[in-house]
Amino acid sequence: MSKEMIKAEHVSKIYGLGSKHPYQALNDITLTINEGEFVCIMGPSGAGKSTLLNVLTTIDFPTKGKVFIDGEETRTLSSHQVGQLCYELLGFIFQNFNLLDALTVKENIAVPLSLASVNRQEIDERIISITSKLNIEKLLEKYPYECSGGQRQRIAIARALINHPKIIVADEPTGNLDSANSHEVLDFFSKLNTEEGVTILMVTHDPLIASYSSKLLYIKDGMIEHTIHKEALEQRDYFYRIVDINSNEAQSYFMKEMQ
Amino acid sequence: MGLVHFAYIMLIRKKQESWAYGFMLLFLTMTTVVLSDVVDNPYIGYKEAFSSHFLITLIVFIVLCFSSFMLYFANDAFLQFKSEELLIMGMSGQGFLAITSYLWLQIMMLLMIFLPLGLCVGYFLAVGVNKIMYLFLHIPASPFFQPLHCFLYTGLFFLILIPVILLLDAGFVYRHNIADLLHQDHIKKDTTVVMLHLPSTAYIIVALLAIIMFLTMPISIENYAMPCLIGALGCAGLLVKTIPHLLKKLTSQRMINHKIALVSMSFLSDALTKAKHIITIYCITTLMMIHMMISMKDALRESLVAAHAYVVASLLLSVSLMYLYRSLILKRKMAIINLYKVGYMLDQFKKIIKQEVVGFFGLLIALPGLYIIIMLLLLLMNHTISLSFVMIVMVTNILPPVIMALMTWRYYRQSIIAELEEGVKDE
Repeated sequence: MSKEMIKAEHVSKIYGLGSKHPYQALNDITLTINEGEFVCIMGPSGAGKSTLLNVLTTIDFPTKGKVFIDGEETRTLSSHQVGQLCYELLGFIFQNFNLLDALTVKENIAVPLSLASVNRQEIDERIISITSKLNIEKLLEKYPYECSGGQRQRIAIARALINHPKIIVADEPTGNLDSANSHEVLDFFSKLNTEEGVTILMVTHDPLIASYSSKLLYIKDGMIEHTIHKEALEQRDYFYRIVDINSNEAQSYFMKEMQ
Repeated sequence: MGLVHFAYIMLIRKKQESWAYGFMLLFLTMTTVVLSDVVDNPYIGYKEAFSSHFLITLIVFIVLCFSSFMLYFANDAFLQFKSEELLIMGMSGQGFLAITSYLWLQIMMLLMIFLPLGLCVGYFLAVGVNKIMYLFLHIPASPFFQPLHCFLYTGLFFLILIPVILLLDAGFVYRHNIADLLHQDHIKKDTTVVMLHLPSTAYIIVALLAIIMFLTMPISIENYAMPCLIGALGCAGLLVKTIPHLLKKLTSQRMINHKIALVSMSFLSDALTKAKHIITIYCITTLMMIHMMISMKDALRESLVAAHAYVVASLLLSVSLMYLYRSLILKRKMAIINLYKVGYMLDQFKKIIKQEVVGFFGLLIALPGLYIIIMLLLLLMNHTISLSFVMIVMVTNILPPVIMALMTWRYYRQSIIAELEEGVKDE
């Protein structure tokens, strides 16, 4: 049996608690993500996709319920312990890349290790290894603003992977990329997942991108409405199931219109 | 690289932000040295007056308060600039202590450079001030002499303020997690207004009441304290409540098809609302300090301290406004990039920026200026003050905001227009 990497028990998230207009973004979510799974979160706008991702990965904390990462309950950890957990287990990738223009590509990738005072030789070795996998080894002395969108996302991925995290957390990682670059990134994620056993948790709104995952959580109004497992399905068939789930939303809207 | 090296590298590479904060520290040190010199200079003899004269004590206290405000606003802008770095540190597994230490290290590095520099420049500036004071007061002393106390007071001032700033920075890190930093537009939550909660139109009545009081009261500076205060509250209310409210109405009802005015006036309304606290302080200070300066005019010594304090306060408040505006511009960047994507042209942005900045600083000069002009003209007609005094006060009132407007406009263009000219990045 695979190890539980992330576990959520009756998790709710309410924004503006105590204000005139509190907003419930997540409602009693219980789920488990096992080691080596590639989980994708989908859902309509405002469904709570990013909130769920944030709450599951220490970016944010639940209002109610418990989240466990590698067996540790996140709300009981001190700030230092959360930082340690992030450094050892999690690698973050966001739509906007979040690179520092003042640092070179090499320095950007090295930031997590530099801050953890890893020795220079090891940093160099890890940078060479990760950048060659991502085909960005020639960009090391450039600055992020001198790179294309696809290259910048690969730099962000390299930074996320430099400390060998067990879980990759990606919020719309292909949101700013063209189709070719998006598939390159996803191919890399798939390889990472299947060959190195890295757990991936990703939010996307694109069914084709979601079809790279092994499990899909479709959330609506802060609750998990469907869970689809790829299992033995071909990527194409899995993609059609994802499209079906997504189109159910539109279909039910038209049905209501017709009635 | 380590934390210290990372802090150093980011400080060096992000020159513009570092200079902006460093310049503020330099300016603050300079003004504190000069003010301490004026108060503590045995040749001028303020020390005796200082202990006996409540007004001088009050003036110095007010100026030091404004220095603190300025440091607060500059620090706030500095934190906005640092959001991306703090986010990446958080994503890299750095906890509260490490991120706070990073900010503290950068501030300490800046202090190590700009504090001694400010003391040196402040010394020479104080020599100039002494020269002018000795000339006015006919004191035969060397302007180069400055009591050691003025440097000690400056040190003491920073010894009190810097821990406060460091605590504020720690509080910022404590309150903002990665999710907040990812969406930094939402970082600053709107706080309640310091002003009285009156309907926006009520401020027109308050403002008019002050004018009526000026015009109907017997001409005497002693009588003008109340109209000055009411006028200050009235024009602060107009600036932060009535005008933004009117601008919102105008943009939604009449300017919907005016491509430039629609955006510039919306931005102006937003800027006035966001700067409400500092605008309120600015209006009250400007009017009350001018009143104080005129009421002390018969005592040359006190009057010079008041004039000196007025100039310093005016400069400090203008610089604070500039810093506040800078962080506003930073937050507005994405909105402008989106407008650019929906078809706004560079030339149109230049016009928008010009209208907004001219509108903001123009209103800031014009509204309190109206009361100042009324009061000065009445006193001039009554031969209480001279025409040259009127001219000096008006120039002192207008010049700092004009300079800050030019600097803000330049910064706006550098940080946004220049980037748009290079082409919008995918971010």
